[in-house]
Amino acid sequence: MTLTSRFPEDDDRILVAGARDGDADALAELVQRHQGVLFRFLLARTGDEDQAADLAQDALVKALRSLPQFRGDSSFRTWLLAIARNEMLGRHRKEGRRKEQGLETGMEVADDRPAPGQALETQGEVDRVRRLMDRLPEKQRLSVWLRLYDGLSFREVAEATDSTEGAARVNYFHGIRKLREWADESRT
Amino acid sequence: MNHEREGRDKAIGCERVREHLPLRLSGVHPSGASEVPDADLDAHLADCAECTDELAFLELLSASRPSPPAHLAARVVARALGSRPLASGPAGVDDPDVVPFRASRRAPQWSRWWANPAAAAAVLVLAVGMGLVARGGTPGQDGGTVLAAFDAQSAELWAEDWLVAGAPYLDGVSDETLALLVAGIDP
Ligand SMILES: [Zn+2]
Repeated sequence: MTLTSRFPEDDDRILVAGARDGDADALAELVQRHQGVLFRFLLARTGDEDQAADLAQDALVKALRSLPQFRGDSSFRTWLLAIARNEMLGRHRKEGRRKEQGLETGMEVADDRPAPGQALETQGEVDRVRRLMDRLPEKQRLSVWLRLYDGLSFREVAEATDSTEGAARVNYFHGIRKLREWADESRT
Repeated sequence: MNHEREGRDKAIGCERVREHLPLRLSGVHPSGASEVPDADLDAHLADCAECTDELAFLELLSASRPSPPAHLAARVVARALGSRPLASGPAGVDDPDVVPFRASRRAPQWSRWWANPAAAAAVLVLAVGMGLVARGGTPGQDGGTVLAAFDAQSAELWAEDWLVAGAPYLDGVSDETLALLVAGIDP
């Protein structure tokens, strides 16, 4: 459900300005528009739906409360993903965990080993694909998800994953290639 | 850079096409400028089995796109609306009538029935049906009570954000936004 009658689909600036001025509809539409990419970004990072939803909620609320500080240098989506990233790191730190494991800039090598006991043929197609996605290294999974599921530009992917545009592109292609190989293997 | 021709005449190379195939998938909205024009992609796809194959595979992948839980948007909107007055005019936290956020402040007594989600949902449905939800003008206690029922499981959040700010301000809120808030009620 979107309020497309009132707001142009491709322009967040009107929504941001509206939400900042106290327009509840604009605020709701902004949330509707970006909750998906935010949730998926956090799910790709955490691998846990509850945790991703929880973090997404906090990041969105924080972003909406900070709208007066949003200068529009980047897109609202990029800004939101940056807030989510900080939110996640903050929580990791709080929980005394190691931060940003395996998230250095650059490419990653995929794990080629088949997951133990994986009987892909018996899974539903969607289930099957999700399992394959889970096998990708985090940066490849993030690049594939953000580009494939939400149509982010590679520049945006790079900003969201703290890497370079070139690395984001390579991670996307490597991820897709791996997925195809695994999918072919599981069919034969 | 490298344009794979594969003996055929293609205006753009496979790599460039594949980079842009995700934007062709249903439900994905292109975001950036300088994307390849649809006509060029179509022309390439009509002539390239490999890229057509890749597009089919991406369609398969995109079917697994995870969706956020139904209550997420409603909870966010409720918390965000509760954290400051949303009204016509420039009212903000400086408004003398609005008590600023204070987590330690106790929620009013009537908040206890939140503990029962079914009761909360029932009250909400009833109230919406009776047109009690405050929209426009100054919301009264009924409006506040009803709106507080939108998400029974977020009682703490409401207590934290919404109630300490007094009655919610929802001037001119559309049916869609109300429906969104209603969608946040867990069955
Ligand atoms: Zn091609």
